[in-house]
Amino acid sequence: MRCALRLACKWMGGVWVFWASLLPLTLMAQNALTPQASSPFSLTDDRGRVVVIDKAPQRIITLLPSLGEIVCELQACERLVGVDRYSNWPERVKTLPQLGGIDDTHLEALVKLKPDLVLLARSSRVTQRLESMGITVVALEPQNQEDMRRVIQLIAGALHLPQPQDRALTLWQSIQQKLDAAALRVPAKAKGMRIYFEAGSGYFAAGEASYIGETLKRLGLVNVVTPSMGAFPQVNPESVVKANPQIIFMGQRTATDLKNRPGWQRIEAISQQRICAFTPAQSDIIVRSGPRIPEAADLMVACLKRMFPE
Amino acid sequence: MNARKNQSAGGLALQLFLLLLLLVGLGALVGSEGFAGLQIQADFSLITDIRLPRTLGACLAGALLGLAGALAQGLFRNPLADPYLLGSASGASLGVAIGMVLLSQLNMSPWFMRMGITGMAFMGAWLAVALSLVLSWGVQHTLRLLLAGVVVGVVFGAMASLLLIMFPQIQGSVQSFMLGSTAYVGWSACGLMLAVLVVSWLVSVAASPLLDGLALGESTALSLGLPVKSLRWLMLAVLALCTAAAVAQTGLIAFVGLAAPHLVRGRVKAVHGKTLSLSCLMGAVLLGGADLLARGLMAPLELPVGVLTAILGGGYMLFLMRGMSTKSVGQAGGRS
Amino acid sequence: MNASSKTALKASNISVLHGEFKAVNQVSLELHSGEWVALVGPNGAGKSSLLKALAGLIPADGQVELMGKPWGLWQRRERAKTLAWLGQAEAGQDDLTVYDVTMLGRLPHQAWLASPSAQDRAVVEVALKTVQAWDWRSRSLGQLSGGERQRVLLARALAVQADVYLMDEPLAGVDLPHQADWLEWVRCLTEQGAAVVSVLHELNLALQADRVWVMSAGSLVHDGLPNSSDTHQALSAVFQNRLQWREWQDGDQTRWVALPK
Repeated sequence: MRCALRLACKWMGGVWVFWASLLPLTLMAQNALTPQASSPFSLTDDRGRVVVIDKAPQRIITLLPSLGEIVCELQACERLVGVDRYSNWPERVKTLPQLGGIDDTHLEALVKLKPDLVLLARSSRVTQRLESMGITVVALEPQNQEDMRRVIQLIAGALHLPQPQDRALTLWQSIQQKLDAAALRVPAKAKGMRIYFEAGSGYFAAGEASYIGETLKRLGLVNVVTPSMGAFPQVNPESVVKANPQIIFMGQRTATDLKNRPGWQRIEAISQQRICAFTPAQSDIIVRSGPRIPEAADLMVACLKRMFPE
Repeated sequence: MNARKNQSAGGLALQLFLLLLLLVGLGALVGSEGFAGLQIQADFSLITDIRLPRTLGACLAGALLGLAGALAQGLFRNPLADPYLLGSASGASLGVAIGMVLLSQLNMSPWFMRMGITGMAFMGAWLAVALSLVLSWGVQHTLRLLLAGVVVGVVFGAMASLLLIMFPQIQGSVQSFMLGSTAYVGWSACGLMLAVLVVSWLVSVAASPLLDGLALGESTALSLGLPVKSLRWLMLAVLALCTAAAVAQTGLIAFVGLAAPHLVRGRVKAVHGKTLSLSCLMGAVLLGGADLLARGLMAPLELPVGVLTAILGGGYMLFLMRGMSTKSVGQAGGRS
Repeated sequence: MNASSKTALKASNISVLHGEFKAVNQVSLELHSGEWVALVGPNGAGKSSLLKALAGLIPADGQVELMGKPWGLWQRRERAKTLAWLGQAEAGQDDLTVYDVTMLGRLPHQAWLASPSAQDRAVVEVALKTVQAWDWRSRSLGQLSGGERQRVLLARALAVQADVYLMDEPLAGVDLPHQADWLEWVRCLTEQGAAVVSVLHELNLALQADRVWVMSAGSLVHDGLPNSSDTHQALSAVFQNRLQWREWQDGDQTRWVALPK
């Protein structure tokens, strides 16, 4: 009988040892699976300020629609607790509290939400005030596609996502693929045509250097506003007439009196009726410099298809 | 003999001070829920971090503007003068526009980073006034100074407009600055404004006999032994400092500087030493009250505080004017 | 009109330039304590400019001696206590009370920012009672008529208790009875030993002064007694001979009145 007991003790001990040795293994496995407090991520934001984010932020507020869209596209949408009044995508964002615009952010409402990270535009008025209250603020404002790639990487790191570089790259590549696909769908007749994109009333054009211009270039269109003129220059209407664009993209509201503009009846786009007037909802998507650029491209392609039916 | 019973300066001062205390108290309670949320919240930090500095900041900025307005009206003997008449408004706008443009360039120099937009607004306002003074150097006549101020204002305004056209993305920010807002005033801003207010108030009250003398005419002021020229420069410098400090923190808030001295003079007839201080208090009450209404009336939306100062100040001025017109002018008991 | 009274104000070769225009051209004069001099002449003769130059309010060439001491040697405050200026009412803020305005005349006597002393208050009371404005001392300046305002400004000047009073058109808007009062007040001043110079448009009032200075086109053309025929001739000359003179008996004195022709 004692022999059996001794054997049983040995066995029990062995079992204990076995399970005990498994413990560190399970812990290591857990580490590998959950995004825990890894090394703090430091980045230099668009103000030139170095910001250190110690651990994964769980309550994020974005005050620029493109930044919110990037956060959601990086699969961290559930961490958003507040947005600005212009953010409206994806669906979840519409249920979040809206905290005003760039110049009139609702400070108190924002602070009440107790964010641990606020992403906002460089020119936001409330940045200094938030920092003086000890809130972590990162200012990012993507102006073109190269910017966007950088911003996506920075946000992925700031969110302490697992393998942030890969996640960012995946998102970026998917954007590029969709853009390429849209470019393929452009009617052959439209390729190489001169285009004038009016971004705002008062002859504010989207030039080749802007992100809208980059999309247009991707679709194979030639912008009458060259990069040397800047991203969103106010052009002399006479220069548009001289450049004689074959296609015009603009918002619906300003498109009504296009023919009344002095001298513009001679423009090929107007005489040939090749004008795309985007509805306010469509314009909203097109002016976003976020991950929905492919959607903007799709809207443009759809319009081009209507212009040049095969 | 029916001399109009004017309120004593001390009486008005007490009234305004009590009103100010009330405003500060209310300011701690009115927040993003408006007047409905008028209870002490569990989150005390909201009161100390946001509401108190904001209310105090509005009162301090109002005091600065009230003082500047009283100085401007006294120095130029013009009841339509306001703190912005030497081009400081356009200067501040230009400073903000330049600041916004620099902000949009990715490589920013460290001195600009430290200064920020408020610093640029302050510099712009100060430089505009300094330029007006330089342009009218050596000329005793205040008219030349006013003209120089108009010129500087117009030129700087045009330069700011040029920047807005060249960089349309800053239009929204500059416009919101022009509208004025008390929403983002923190404790450090309060400290700055308080320091400027104390210094300016001391200097102004000390130099106030100049304004009394000037009210009787420049010749009389000189004959009374007042060092008119040097005191005038000093007061102009104080005027510029007050305006620049207020504008840097809260943007261009109209009407407070114009209305506060009028409101004081409508109630009290006293020497400038007293009316300057009363204008401070009146301006503080005006802007503090407007700030309270701005965030409370349509919470969480914010009304532009400049609109509310115009309604509050303008309304009260209309009320005073009606009172004035019902009394016949020149009702002198001693007229033979 | 003491023959042995001392010189209150002595001016040598005063010239005032307004740009290119010579408003005052090499004027020399002497003012004695206890005398009242009227400065008369046609419009644009330079009377105001001369008076302002004497008061040191505008830049001028020449030398001025106040109470025997050269102008440059006077401290600003001491000078303000000795020489009082009464100008034409300027448009200013009408919100000071009559009392406060009069108290401003005591500024030269007060230390900077000091409260008014008992003596200041006494002087102000006397000054206001002299011009019969004491009863409405709490009214603001803006509530008064032109003539009343002028009287208050005179009270302000009286409060200075100066030795020399320079007055530029002090009777603008003052009605006849108060013009007569004003004469009395000036007499009071001169009897106390002060010297008074007033630029006057009212010629007949000027003829009641102790002496008359006649100016024309920037120069002092005559300096004499108001009842002498030389003075009358000089006056007729500067007024383009459009004056006619009438005599009248004021008790045992013969006075003259000038009427337009």
